Amino acid sequence: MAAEREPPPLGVGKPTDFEELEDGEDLFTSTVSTLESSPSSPDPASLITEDISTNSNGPKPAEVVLDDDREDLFAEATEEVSLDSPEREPILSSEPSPAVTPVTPTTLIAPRIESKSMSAPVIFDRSREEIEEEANGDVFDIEIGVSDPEKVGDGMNAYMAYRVTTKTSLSMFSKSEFSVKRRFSDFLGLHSKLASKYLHVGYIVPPAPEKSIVGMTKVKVGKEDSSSTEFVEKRRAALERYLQRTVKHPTLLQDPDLRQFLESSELPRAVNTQALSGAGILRMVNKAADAVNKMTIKMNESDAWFEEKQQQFENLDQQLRKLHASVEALVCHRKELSANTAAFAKSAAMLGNSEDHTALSRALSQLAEVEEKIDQLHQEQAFADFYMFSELLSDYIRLIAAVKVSLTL
Amino acid sequence: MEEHREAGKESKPSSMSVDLQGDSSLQVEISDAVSERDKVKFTVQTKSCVPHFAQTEFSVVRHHEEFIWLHNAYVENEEYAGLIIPPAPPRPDFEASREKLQKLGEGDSSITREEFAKMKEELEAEYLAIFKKTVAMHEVFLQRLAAHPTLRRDHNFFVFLEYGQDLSVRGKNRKELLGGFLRNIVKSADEALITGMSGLKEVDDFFEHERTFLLEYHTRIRDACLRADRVMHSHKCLADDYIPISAALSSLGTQEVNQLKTSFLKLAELFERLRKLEGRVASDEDLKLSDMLRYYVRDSQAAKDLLYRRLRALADYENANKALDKARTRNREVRTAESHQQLCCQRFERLSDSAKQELMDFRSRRVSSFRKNLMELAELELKHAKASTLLLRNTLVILKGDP
Repeated sequence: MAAEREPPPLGVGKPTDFEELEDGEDLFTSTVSTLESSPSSPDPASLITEDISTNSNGPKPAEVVLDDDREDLFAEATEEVSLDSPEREPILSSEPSPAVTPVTPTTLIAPRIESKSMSAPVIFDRSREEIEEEANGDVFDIEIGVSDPEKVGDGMNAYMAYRVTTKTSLSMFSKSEFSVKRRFSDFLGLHSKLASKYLHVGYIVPPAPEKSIVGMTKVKVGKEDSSSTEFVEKRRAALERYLQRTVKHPTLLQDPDLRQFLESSELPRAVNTQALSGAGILRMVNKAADAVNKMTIKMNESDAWFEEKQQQFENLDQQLRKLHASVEALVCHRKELSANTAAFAKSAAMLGNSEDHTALSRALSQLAEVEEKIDQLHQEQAFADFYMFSELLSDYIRLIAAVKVSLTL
Repeated sequence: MEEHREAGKESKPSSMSVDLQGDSSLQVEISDAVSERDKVKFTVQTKSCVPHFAQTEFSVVRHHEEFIWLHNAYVENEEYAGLIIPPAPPRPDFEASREKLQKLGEGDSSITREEFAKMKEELEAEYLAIFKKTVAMHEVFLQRLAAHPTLRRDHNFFVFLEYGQDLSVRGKNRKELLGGFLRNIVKSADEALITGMSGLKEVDDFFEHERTFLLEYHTRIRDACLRADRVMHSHKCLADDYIPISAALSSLGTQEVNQLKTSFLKLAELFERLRKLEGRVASDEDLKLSDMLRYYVRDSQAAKDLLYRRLRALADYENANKALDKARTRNREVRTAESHQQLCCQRFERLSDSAKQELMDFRSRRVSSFRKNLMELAELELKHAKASTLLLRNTLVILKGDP
C-alpha cells in the first residue's frame, strides 16, 4: 500500500504551503519559544496527543522539504532527509529506523524549520487562524456514530457493513449530516493510510481495532449465537471509539483521506488489509523483522524530556496491562456468577414446588424469583464492566503502543 | 419432644446456644478444638445431672473417627430402627484451603507485597471459617443426640461422653470400607426390589405420601445445595478479583498527578471496601443458605433411611405372613412361623409408629430452620446491599465533585 503510492502527495503541495505559511510564521512564535526551552512543558494545546506530536516532530524532519530559501538551514538535515526519502515507501520495512538517527536536540534545527515541517501535512486551504481556533476547541463540532451492523453477502464472502453517521458544523464538509456504509477493511485501510502519512512525522495515529479471523468467520458462517453478536457489538463500539478519537485530532481531521472516508459513498476497496492476502503476509514478515530489529538496536534517547516520557509510558503501559488483565478476570467471574445464580434460581424453584408446607413453598419460589432478578443484574453489570471499563483500558493500551511507535520512529 | 427439637438447633450450626427447654439433664457442647497436622481434636464438655455419670461436669477429647464410630453404633442398633438417626458430621476438610495457601506461597512474582498480604489474609480467614464450621457440625450432631429422649440414653453415647481415654477407634480399613460399599449397593438393590415387588402394597397413605415426597425432595435439595455452593464460590472469586484491581489502581494513582490521582486513589479505596462487602455477602450466603441446604440433604437422607428400614420391616412382615400360611397349609413348624410372624408384625408396627412421629418432627424442624435461615439471609443481604449502595454513591459524589 505504501509502495503503490509515492512519497506523500503532500510533497507536491508542500512548497506552496510553505509560501502560504510565511505569513503565518509568527503565529508559531508561541510554539517556537516553548520548543527552544526544550524539556519544558509543551505548548498547552487542547489535546495531549497534539503536544507530543508537536514536540516529537521537531527532531524528525522527515518531510522532504526542498525549498530553496531554506536550503542552507537544511544543510544538516538534508542528509537525513535524503537517506530517508527512498525508504519512506515501504514504511513498514525496518530500514528507516536506523537511518533516522534521532536528531534530538531541538536546538540543532532552527525553530522555523520545525514549524514548517510540522505544519506541512496540515493545511490545504485553511489559514492558520482557523486551525488555531479549532485547536482551542471552540468550534470543534463533529459527532460520529457507528451503528447498524448488517450482514452483507453470504458464505465466506460475507462481511458486516456498518453505517457511519457524521453530524458536523465544520465547513470543510459539504453537508452537515451524512452517513455512509463502510466495512471493517475500510476502517483498516483508513488507518494504514493515516499511519503512512503521519507516523513518520511523529503524530500519534489512533490504532484501529484488531482483525479477528475467528470472530469474523463465525459471523460469516452465520452462526446466530450470543458470542457472535457479542463480537459484532464489541467491534462496532471499538470502531466508533476509533473514529471519534481520530477526528478529535485536528491535524488528522484535515486529512483528505479521512474526509473521503466519512463522506463518499463509494470507497475503493482496501484490498491489502485482507488477512490472507500477499500484502498481509508481507506485512507480518515485516512486523517480525521490525520487532527483532527494535530489540537489537537500542537507540539512545539523549533528550531528557523524551527519556522521561518514555519511561512514564513504559510504566503506564505495564500498569494498564495489569489492570486490564484483572478487569477481564472480574468480568469473567461475574458472568460465571450470573450463570450460577440462574441455575440456583431454577433449583430453588423446583425445591419450592416439591415442598408441601405451603408457606415455605411460597417463600422458596419467591427466593427463586429474586435470584433470577439478581442474575439479570449481574449480567448487566458484567456487560457494563466489560464495555466501559475493560474495553476502555484495552484502547488505552493500544494507544500507548501507538505512542511508543511514534516515539521510537 | 417436639419443643426440644424445635429450638432451632439443627438450623444454623454455628449459632448454637442450645436451650434444651426445661430438660437440662444433659447438655453437651464442644468447648474447644485444636487442629493438628492431620486431625482435629475436639474437646467435648458435658454438664449433666443424670445419675449415671460420675461427675456433673466433665470433658473429654475426641477426634472425628470417634464421632463416626458413635454414629455407626446407633445405625446398627436394631432398637433405633424406627428413629431418624442424626446424620454424621462430615470429615473436616482443609485440603482446598491448604492447597490455595500453598499455591500462594509459591507465588507469583507479579503480585505486590500488599496484594500478597491481603490474599494471605483472605485465605487465612477462609481456613478459620472452615474450621469453625466443622466444629459446629460436630456439635450439632451431639446436641441432637442429647436432646432425643430415646437416643440420649444409649450406652455408647455415655461411653463417648465420659470415657477419659482414647476410644481407640480406628478408621475403617480397606476391607471394611469395601464391605460398607457393598452393603450400600445391596441396600439400594433391596430397596428397588421391595418397591418394585408387586405384592407389597403400602398400607398407610401417610407413608406413601412421605415416600414420594422424600425421594423427590432429596434429589432436589441435593441439586440446590450443589448450585448454591457454586454461587458462593463464584461470589468469592469475584471478591478476590477486586484485590488486584485495587492494587493496580492505587499504583496508577501514585504515578499520576492531581485530579486523576485522587480519582484513581479513590477508586482503589472503593474497590478495597467493595471487596470486603462482597466477601461478607459470599460468606453469609455460605453459612445461611449452603450450609442449611447441605444439612438437610443429609437429614433427608437419614429420613429416607428410616423409611427404607420400615419398608424392609413391612417386607419381612409380609414374608412372615406368607411363611405362616405356607406352614399352616403344610401343618409343619406352625408355632415357629407364628411367633416369627408375630415378631415381624410387632416390629413393623413399632417402626411405623415411631417413624410417623419422626417424620412429622422432621417436617416441622425443617420448616422452622428454613424459615430462620432464610430470614437471616435476607436481612443480611439487605444490610450489605445498603452498605454497598451507600459506598458507591459516596464515591460517585466525590469523583464527580472534584472540579
